[in-house]
Amino acid sequence: MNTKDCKFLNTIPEYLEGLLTSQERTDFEEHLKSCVVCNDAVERYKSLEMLLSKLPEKNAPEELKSRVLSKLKSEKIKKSPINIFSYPFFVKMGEIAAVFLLVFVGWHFYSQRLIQPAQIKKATLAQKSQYLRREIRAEKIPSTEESIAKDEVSENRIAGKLITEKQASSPEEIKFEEDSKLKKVDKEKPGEKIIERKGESERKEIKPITDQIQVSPLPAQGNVIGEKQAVSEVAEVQKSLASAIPEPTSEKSELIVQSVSKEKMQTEYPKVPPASQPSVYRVQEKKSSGYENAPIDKYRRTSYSDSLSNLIITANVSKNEFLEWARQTREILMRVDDIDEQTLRISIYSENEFERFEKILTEKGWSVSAENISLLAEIKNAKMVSAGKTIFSFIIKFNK
Amino acid sequence: MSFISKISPEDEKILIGRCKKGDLTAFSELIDSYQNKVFSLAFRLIGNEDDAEDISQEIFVKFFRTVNLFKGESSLATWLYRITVNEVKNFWKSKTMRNSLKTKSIDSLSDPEDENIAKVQFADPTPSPRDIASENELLSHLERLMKKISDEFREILILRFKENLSYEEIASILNINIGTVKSRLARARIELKSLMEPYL
Repeated sequence: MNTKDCKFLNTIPEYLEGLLTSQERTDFEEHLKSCVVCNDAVERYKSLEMLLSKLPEKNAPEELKSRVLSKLKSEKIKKSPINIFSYPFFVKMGEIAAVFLLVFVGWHFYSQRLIQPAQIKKATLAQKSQYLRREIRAEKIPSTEESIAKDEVSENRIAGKLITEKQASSPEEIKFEEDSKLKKVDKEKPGEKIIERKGESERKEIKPITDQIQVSPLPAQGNVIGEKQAVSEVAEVQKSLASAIPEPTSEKSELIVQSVSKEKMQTEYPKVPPASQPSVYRVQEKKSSGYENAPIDKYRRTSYSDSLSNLIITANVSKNEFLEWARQTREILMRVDDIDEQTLRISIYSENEFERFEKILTEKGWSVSAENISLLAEIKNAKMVSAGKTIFSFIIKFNK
Repeated sequence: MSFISKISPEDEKILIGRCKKGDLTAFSELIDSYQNKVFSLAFRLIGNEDDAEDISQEIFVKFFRTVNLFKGESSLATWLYRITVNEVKNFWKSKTMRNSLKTKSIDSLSDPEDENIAKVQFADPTPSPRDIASENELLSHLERLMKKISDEFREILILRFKENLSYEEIASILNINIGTVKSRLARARIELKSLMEPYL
């Protein structure tokens, strides 16, 4: 009989796998009793099962185990805890230590020369502007041409301090620290007079800076007197200042007093400026303790030494008009340093305020020439590169 | 089940625990116990010793890497079956394997053995193959022809009849339901029988 003849042949695998219903299975089993073809097919399927089960085992190659273990060992070595005695470990740790050292040293020097904008931000903009305006208006340090010639002093600079710390009881109140003593340094150098005020007084209300500053000639060694001592010597300092500095006789002699924080006084402008730069010097004590009794050479002459100080912007406005605006404005906190009849140095403490300054110049029609506008952009870009930590400092020359 | 370990279940548990702690010595003992089974299954599924060795290596490495996931809910043998089947499936998916199989299929058209078979068939179709081939010969034919059936059918035939796994175990390993296991087996039987028909 031909094996292809039976219609139940395709049913056999399903029957063998138990896929038939009970009725189908019963019918097929009944058929199997009489169908030789299907019986033969079932036998062949079962013989295939038997053959499959008798397929010989294949022994694994001898090197299989060693391959597996060596691979795992190599992975384990890669992932294993650091072997502190290994050469690469020391090299790596040395590299890490070197990086940390560089970062630490870099940050140390960086922080030494940069202003901490956060100190300024503690006061509101209005408070800052108000203080600055009053400061500019009130602080007129006399310096006539005659007295300059007589005293061989070309420039006077007075620096004050503003500490804008929020007090615990009243966050809006501002604490001012004003120098109670002036120091005169580098007398030997003709054409310069370097003055710094050191000390502090604390008040809850804002008063004109002239009410707060007491100055006196510096001791020969330029020591800085402690706070209590400074307060007790107020009257003496005032007298000394009055006798040392003549009354103002012209607009030219006006000095702009800058308010900076105590920390700024200790950290800003560490470099000595190039000879070509305007002489805007300050005396700054080092941070080390016990500086009160330090000799004068412990004080460093510092200035705005940033290369951007060499950038000069020419504004289409008179210096007096600009100063008037600077006194009145509540929009920007800036430092104004008098350089000469037609020149000021502007220092602005943040990028945002610099942008406001730039905008105001344009709005007021004082905008500088296209060439100088590019300088503004240059300042901005350069300051952004320096991580926004330093001030925006530049020279502004007035055409009118 | 065909994956019968040479070590007792208790010792196996201890070895697995040590493997979980990264003990390669314990793992070495487990390899001794299972390497022939794993390699053999891989060879039956793939049909090539070199590839089977590579895959067996990957299976054991993968087992060691993932031994922490083994919680003892199934037997270690089932766990190894699953890894083996998955690794073999990955191998099948690779283009190289596909190309290799295609090449072999084409080559097989000019296989001297096949020519002889054809000659035998044409020369004397009536005698039963059982009369002219011993069981060993049948097995060699089976081994050769198993490479020609689809991967899916070869896989399930090996697991069911070579490894003697139950429907439930196969369903678990292949992640399919039991009905699918049975129907796939039925179709695999038909394909295998059609290939082996001349020799049965």
